[in-house]
Amino acid sequence: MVRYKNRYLVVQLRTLEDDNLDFKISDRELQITVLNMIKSLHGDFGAGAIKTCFKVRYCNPTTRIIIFKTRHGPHQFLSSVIPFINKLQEKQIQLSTLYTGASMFQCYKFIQNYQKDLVRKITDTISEKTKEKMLNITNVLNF
Amino acid sequence: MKVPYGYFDLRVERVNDHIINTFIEYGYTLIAVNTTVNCSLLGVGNSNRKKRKVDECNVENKEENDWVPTPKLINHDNFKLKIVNRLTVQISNIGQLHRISTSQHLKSYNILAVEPLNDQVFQDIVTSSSTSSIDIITCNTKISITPKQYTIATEKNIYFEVSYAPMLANYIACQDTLSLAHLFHMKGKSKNVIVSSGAVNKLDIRNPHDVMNLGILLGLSRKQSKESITQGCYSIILQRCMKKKNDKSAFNTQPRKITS
Repeated sequence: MVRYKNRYLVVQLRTLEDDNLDFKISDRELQITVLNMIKSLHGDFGAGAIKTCFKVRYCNPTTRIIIFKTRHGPHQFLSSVIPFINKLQEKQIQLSTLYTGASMFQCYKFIQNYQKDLVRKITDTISEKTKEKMLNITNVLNF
Repeated sequence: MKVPYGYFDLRVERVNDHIINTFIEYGYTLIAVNTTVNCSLLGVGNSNRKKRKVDECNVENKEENDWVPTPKLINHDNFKLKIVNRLTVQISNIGQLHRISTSQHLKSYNILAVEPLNDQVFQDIVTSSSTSSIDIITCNTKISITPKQYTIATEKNIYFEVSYAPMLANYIACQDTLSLAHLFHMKGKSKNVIVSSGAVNKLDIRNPHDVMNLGILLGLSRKQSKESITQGCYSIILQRCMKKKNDKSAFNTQPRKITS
């Protein structure tokens, strides 16, 4: 019996204006946007292959880190589509892949290190509250 | 010149502080700022020798103005990112290339790229021996390439370029770029292909990992798509250093860190 393999993509969302903090991301909208893009690039085959297993697992509005989950195999469709997504809620955005992992735990470890690095870099300029907010990475391992 | 290792982007159309900061953030180590010259608008530049002789008698008296503009000046002081200059010439005639190569300003550019506008020029570029100074050929889908021409070009260490910024904006340009990339795969198994951004805006720039994933969409293998933004571009710049000094070889040395 072979294990059922998954791939998790850690993706960061960027907007044109960096300080636009009231930008809300909803899981559902993201999922629909990505699926539409896959359909236009890879056609019916790509959309059909990825539809059953594609899901937005985690979405953090403050740090703007998103985790996509797919099956191993169609993850190539997803990773090749990510550079093409440049509109969400009528706003220009940009997605950039940070990490590709095989388990949720590995992604969690990566995000923790990534956020810690960020905090270390800008530790002089931010207050204690934002620091806590940035390091608050809950609900990743709830599955 | 010191050439760093890492991720390269050999075509950036515009530079400002935002774009430079984004490149640093993503971990690029070298970018090339592009200046495009359209030679077919500037003059005819005859390749025909008889005609040229006649022309020389007439034209010589006129003041010879330089076709190549001076490179864009960039002043930034960040040791993480190196910025070089690149010249792209669009030619419809091989004579124009000879004229470009005699220009004074050409020496201040680090990379020379050529965009042939018809089939005949492409044939001439590949076959003639005087064109060894070309580093990159930028193609569009209208030009037909034969497998033999492709192999000759790869033997001469000429690289073919695919830029992804127009893909992201436009639906039709996306199809054209994809078909161009697959044309390279058909004709020569995608040897010597580099992927560059061609970014005008800050949002056109993509993470190197995303570019590598995009390479798979462009018909490159996993190894090739990695080399298309690292090793291939690196060898282009080394080659250029070699040609500038008329040496037979160029190499880069870096201090090794001993960890024990």
